[in-house]
Amino acid sequence: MTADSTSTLTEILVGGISRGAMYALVALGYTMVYGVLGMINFAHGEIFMIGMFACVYAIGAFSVAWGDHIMLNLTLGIMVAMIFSAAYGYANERIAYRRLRKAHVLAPLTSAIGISTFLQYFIFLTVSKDTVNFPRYYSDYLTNHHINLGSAEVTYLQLTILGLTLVIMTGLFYLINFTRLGIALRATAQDQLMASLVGIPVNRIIAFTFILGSALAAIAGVMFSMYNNVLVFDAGYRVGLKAFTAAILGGIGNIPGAVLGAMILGLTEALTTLNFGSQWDDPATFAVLMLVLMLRPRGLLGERVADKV
Amino acid sequence: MTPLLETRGLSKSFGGLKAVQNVDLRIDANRIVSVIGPNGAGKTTFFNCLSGIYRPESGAILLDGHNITGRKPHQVCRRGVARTFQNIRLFPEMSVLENVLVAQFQHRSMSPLRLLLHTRRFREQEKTSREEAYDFLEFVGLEKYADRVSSSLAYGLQRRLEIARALATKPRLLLLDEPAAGMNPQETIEMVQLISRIRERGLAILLIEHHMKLVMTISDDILVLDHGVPIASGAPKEVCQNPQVIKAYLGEESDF
Repeated sequence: MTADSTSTLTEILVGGISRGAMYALVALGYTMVYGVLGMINFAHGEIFMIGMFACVYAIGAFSVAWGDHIMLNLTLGIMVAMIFSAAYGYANERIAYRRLRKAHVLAPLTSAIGISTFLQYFIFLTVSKDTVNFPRYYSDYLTNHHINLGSAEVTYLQLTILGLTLVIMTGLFYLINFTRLGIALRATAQDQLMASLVGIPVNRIIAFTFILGSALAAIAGVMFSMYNNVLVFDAGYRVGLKAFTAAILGGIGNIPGAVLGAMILGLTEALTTLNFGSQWDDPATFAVLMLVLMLRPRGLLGERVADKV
Repeated sequence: MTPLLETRGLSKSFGGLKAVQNVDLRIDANRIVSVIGPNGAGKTTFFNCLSGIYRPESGAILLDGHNITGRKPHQVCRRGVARTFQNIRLFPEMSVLENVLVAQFQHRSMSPLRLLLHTRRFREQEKTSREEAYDFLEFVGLEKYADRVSSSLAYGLQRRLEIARALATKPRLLLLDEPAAGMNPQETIEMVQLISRIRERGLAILLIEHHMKLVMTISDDILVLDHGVPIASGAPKEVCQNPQVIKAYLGEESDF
């Protein structure tokens, strides 16, 4: 291998891991909600998309208000995105799912699909029918600067994505395994009635799960829109489907599984693009999913059915 | 004096079946009261009403004079009522220690901001929670199993863990649903000792139990239910001489 092709390969791998990291942030939302409620929140992709738009419009407002301070405006923009997504995620749970918690499993699922469509067309009609570009001045700063890893180039944006994701994963791991809030969350996931009998406000814990998952999706949304430079009202559908696939691949309900599944998808996409062109991304992704599910029907880190019984 | 717990005309039915009818009960602090009756007499339904799982159709539940009828389970728990189940109901995938920690969630304010900033106050709270949890495990004799997965414990120990978890919610009234079910004589004696030690902490205990010797030994008062209807109540001696009770429940059992 020549020096040039090694550096390309490294760049492809870094690109794949960065994509995987963004999928992971979204996949966590699917898997946490499934873990606690046993339902698939099909509107989660739209929460991700709302984060994108909130950030771009917030940055626009900030630069009008006090000029283009890249770091300040980006940081504030991400925060606004998190707040917006969290609010939508919370409202979603409160309005569309809470009352259906005791209904047949298909009821909240149908409700979720409805909310998903509603949010897409809500943004389509009220915000933008066309694609919107992420403000160049901001994304260029992060994509044009890079550090050298051997002979390969890693952009600031990729570093930010990887750094943020790493910090978030560590924090989440700590939160869930070692804090009282995490224990309350796991208790709610295992046995809601028993959790409430030991004094845990189950409704608040479930709301917290939605808020946390939505805020993480917002971060992913901002990163994703900078990465691709465009936003569109149905972006959440496509990324949501990928992230959902990642969660299934890793074993739905399992947090490390969602991260692992997302990384595998990110790398699969990157390598497929390199060898066959990006039009083969989706077939490759779902071929991997089918292969894994044939061998391990509960996903890579999912429990075997026998363990549950 | 207001009793710790009082029910007035408590009733609950399922479709046409009247599971609990017109139950009046008073428990003062530091007392042990047993609810007995044949299978299907409505004992567990009565417990489910008291702990907020079922909403009674009529009647009232007063805790320390406060009306808690129709409150949700976590609100009832916060008021000071904890319970165990006839079929042990632990969080099976958690460690023994975590099963106790989970019950302390309600006692300290939990601000996500403090968690995020990892303030000194947050760390101290997490530390005291752990220390307290160990105290409860020690009380029931499970401290050396703290890190085991709860479902891997022996049956008798799981019962003790369930009691430790209930105590960790810091109740004033503890509802025990057949705590000695499935235990051998030695374990039953230990359970009686444990229940007495819980009473010494100042708690009132309401007990469902089929084990008659146990009931007669430790109860201050007994309430007898038959088909959901209270047919007798009073001190153990009076109750077991009551002809109605003997007819309904003890007819064929003469071993006490």
